[in-house]
This record gives sequence, structure tokens and C-alpha cells, in this order.
Amino acid sequence: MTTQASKDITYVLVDGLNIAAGLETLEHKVTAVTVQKQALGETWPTTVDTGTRKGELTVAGWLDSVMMTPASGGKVNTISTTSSIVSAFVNGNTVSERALVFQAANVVGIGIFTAPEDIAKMTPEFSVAGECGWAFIAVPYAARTTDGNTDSAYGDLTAQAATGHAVLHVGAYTGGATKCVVKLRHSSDHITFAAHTTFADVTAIGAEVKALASACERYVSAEWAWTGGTNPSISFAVLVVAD
Amino acid sequence: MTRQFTTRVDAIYPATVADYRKAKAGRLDDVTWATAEAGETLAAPYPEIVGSWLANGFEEVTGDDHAGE
Repeated sequence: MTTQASKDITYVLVDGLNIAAGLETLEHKVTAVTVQKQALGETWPTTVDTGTRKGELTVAGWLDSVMMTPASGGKVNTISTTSSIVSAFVNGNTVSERALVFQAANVVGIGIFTAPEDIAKMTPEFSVAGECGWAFIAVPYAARTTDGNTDSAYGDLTAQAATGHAVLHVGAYTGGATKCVVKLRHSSDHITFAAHTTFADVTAIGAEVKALASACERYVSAEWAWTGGTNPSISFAVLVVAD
Repeated sequence: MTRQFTTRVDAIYPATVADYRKAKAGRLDDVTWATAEAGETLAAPYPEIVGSWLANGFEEVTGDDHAGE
């Protein structure tokens, strides 16, 4: 794997909105929730891991100016009680690479920093509920038109995922189609591919997380099929998180 | 007798043995694919595909499946 730098992070998707262009930094932290136990007679306390985890995601950048368009309003520039699915393609928008996925993230804090020698910057802080973890990019983010699949450019999970989640981000949807059906496909040998997980009918920009109903084989791809529309186009990415 | 298989989900596989060899070699861009609808019973078009089908959820239809029909 090649070394990745900040220039490679071209996609940080909050549901269907890519905020990478407005970002300067991205910080992710997982902490264990612990309690201290100190029984009678013990000199020093013992730290006990409760097994629960707390995820945090903080991004900073020029989000105040970039995010003022109505389509993106409320995603990152205001405190939000509606959770978003957030995926950061920290190793680039490349098939089989890893990406950080947050199943449910709410903006719980916003800081605005202005200094005489600087442009005003904003730091939205996400509180992460649900799972956060490393996903594989099964299908890189790109625009797709006529019905098709990505079997010829399949992703490699490196092993079968017995359980986990499939994530779909849709960042553009045009052409007036009634719907677009996106399915995760899988194969144990990248020769015969079969449909695995069907996402909810896509009719607009957005995102979805679906639990894998059964084991997902090592090689993955996606297919998409339209109903109606004139020259419809959909821009999407599919990721798989193995638990 | 040609072996018969059913698939429980929509599937795609190399259409001919030449396509199968291309897929095996990783030249997937050159492969012509055939599709199978969920629930469809079809005969293996060439013996090499059988292993891949079985590994990917196709179920072989045996004589026992028709017992009592």
C-alpha cells in the first residue's frame, strides 16, 4: 500500500454531502469507558474496562463558507439532533482501500475561530453513536449512468466477513428516474458474483447502513438498475465494515 | 447428463469457458458475463464453472429434489 497523505483524502461524506473540500484537519478518537475499582484493603485502584466505547470525530476547516449552500444546510454547520452516516476515505477513493465509517454521528459542538491573520474557520465536533470502524471501499465514489455493475473492478475484503454492515453514500441523483436499486454483490472467487444485500430504493441524495444478513464473501462489487428517467445519473460509493 | 443448478439470488458468471479462463486470470474487463435470475434452474454451460457456482451459493438439483413430484 502506498503512503497516504492529506492530499489523498478527497472524500469525507456526511450522508450524501462531501465536505472534504472545506476541511483542513480530521481527528478521530475511540476511548474505552472505564471505571475505577478500589476494594477495601487495596492500596491502589484498579481500572476496569466496561467494554463500552466512545467515539469522537472532529473536523476543522473553512466550513462556514463552503457549507452555506441550502442543499448542505444543517449537516455540519448547526447542532444536529438528526444523526448522519459519516465516511472518511482516509486512504483515498480507491477500491479495496480502508475508510473510516461512523454509523450515526451528530454535530454536538461548533467552534468558530477568527484571527487577524487568518480566514474564519469552523470546527464541528461530532458525537458518535452506533458503530464506528474501518471499512473497505467496495465501490469507489463515482458517477454511474446506465444499469451496470463493478464486478470487473471488484473490491477485496481480504477475508470473508461473517457479520458486518454495508454502507451506501449517494452524493448526486439526477435524471428524474423513479428509483435506482443498488445491491452489494459478493463472490468467493471473483468469478461468479451473486447479489448479497439490497439497499433501500434510492430516490434522492442520502446514505444508508444495512446489516449484512449473512456472511459476505471476500470479493465484493455493486450493481445498480434504474426505473424510469431520462439519462439518469447516480454518484455513489459502497463500503463494507466487517465486525 | 448435464448437472443442473439453481441460484437463490441474482447472479452473474462468465458466459463461456474462454471467459472463465479470462476471469480466472484476472482479466475481468474482457469477460462476457451471463446472468442468472433468482430461483432459476440452469445447466452448467461448461464443467469448469461448477466449483465456482457451488462456492457462491448455487445449489445443485439432484434427482432427490424431484422425489414425490
